[in-house]
Amino acid sequence: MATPVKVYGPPLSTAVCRVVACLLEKDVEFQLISLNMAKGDHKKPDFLKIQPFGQVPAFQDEKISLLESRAICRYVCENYPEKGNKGLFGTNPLAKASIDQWLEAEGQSFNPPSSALVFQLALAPRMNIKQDEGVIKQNEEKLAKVLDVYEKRLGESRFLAGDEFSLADLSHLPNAHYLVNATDRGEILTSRDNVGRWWGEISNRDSWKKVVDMQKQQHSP
Amino acid sequence: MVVKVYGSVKAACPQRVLACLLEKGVEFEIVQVDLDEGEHKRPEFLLRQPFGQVPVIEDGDFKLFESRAIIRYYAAKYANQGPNLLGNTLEEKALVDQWLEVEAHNFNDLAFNLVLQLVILPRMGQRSDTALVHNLEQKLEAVLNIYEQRLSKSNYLAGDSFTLADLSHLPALRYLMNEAGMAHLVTQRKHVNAWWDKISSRPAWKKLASLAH
Repeated sequence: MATPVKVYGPPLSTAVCRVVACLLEKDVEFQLISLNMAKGDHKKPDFLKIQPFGQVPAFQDEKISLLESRAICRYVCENYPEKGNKGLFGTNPLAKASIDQWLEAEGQSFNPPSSALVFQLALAPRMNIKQDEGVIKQNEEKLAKVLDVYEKRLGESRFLAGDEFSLADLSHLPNAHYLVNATDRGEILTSRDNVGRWWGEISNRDSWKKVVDMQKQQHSP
Repeated sequence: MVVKVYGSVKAACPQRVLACLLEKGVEFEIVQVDLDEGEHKRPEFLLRQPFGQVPVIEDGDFKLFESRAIIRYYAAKYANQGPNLLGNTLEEKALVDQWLEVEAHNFNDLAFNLVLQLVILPRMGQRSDTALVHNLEQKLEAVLNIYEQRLSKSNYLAGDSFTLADLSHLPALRYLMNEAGMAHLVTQRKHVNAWWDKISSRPAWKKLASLAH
């Protein structure tokens, strides 16, 4: 019987949630080892041994220690091809290429402005850091342009990479969730017909609802 | 069928793809996209690459954008041709993916913004921000310290062989070390320097560099 894989990092971290969502989609048993980043757990020598950049998440199974959430997700899909959602990373090279394309688009085009907005609008206030209106405006404009591209794509295709939910869509869940639920700028997603439709579908998946529950439990006394 | 690569042979992201195709011995044709003239923002181009970026490839009916997706596709498609750029086991492949992500998220932005400040803005007659350059340099030094540590234990980033993870760094590193005048970032680090020497001496890269510069 396989031992549960280990994921290191706080449940409120967007990158940690990306990995947890993937593990849940793939029905892979895992243990979440939380870190207190406010106390600097992620910069301590023991953690730096497995994640030298001092970032979350880190991942370990019996065979390997990995960093970078999107690399971890790819590995989970390829290491457990027969478990859970078998098509999450495509079942043939062309499908996989399309998923990789949109996973890269998420990482290069969606992630930077959405992360900046999540930080400014949802996290900075909690951390008593002053918001930067210039940064907010700049990233809203950037994200709007990216979502215009998504709006067109999602008018032609049910999900980003094709007809099936994939790792590419999953990768967007954490930041999009914060934008819609923890800031007042959610309509950047929900007011666009196709993006709104897509958001509704992907955020209603059982795996994502479990992630949201897990985050809520973090908050309860 | 020749793979069409839309972009410029001088631009970093198309170079990432061209380096991979050269390593794997895959025939390609470069279709010039005039970035200075804003060709990449015109409607005809946006039909190929909706974010208005280069590169995008066309291989018969198959189209793909995002350079790191393109190199993953071709490295896998031609796994049995040329050097193995993806590792042999699932674990080795995972390390290739890991270091590709590190390049994309920890290295690339810093390198790109340094080149923007030190090379591109001056070419456009604009002033660069010295405080920002200093800040970027410090951050990149911290990242390269981690690379130094890694490369002291491993010949290449993902293991004992040259893979996509190393290849992905070539374009930006070349710009940093030449036009941007930041060679010290590499040469001051023993193992990073040795790694750079090895990867930049590969025939495929030398061929591309001579085509481009």
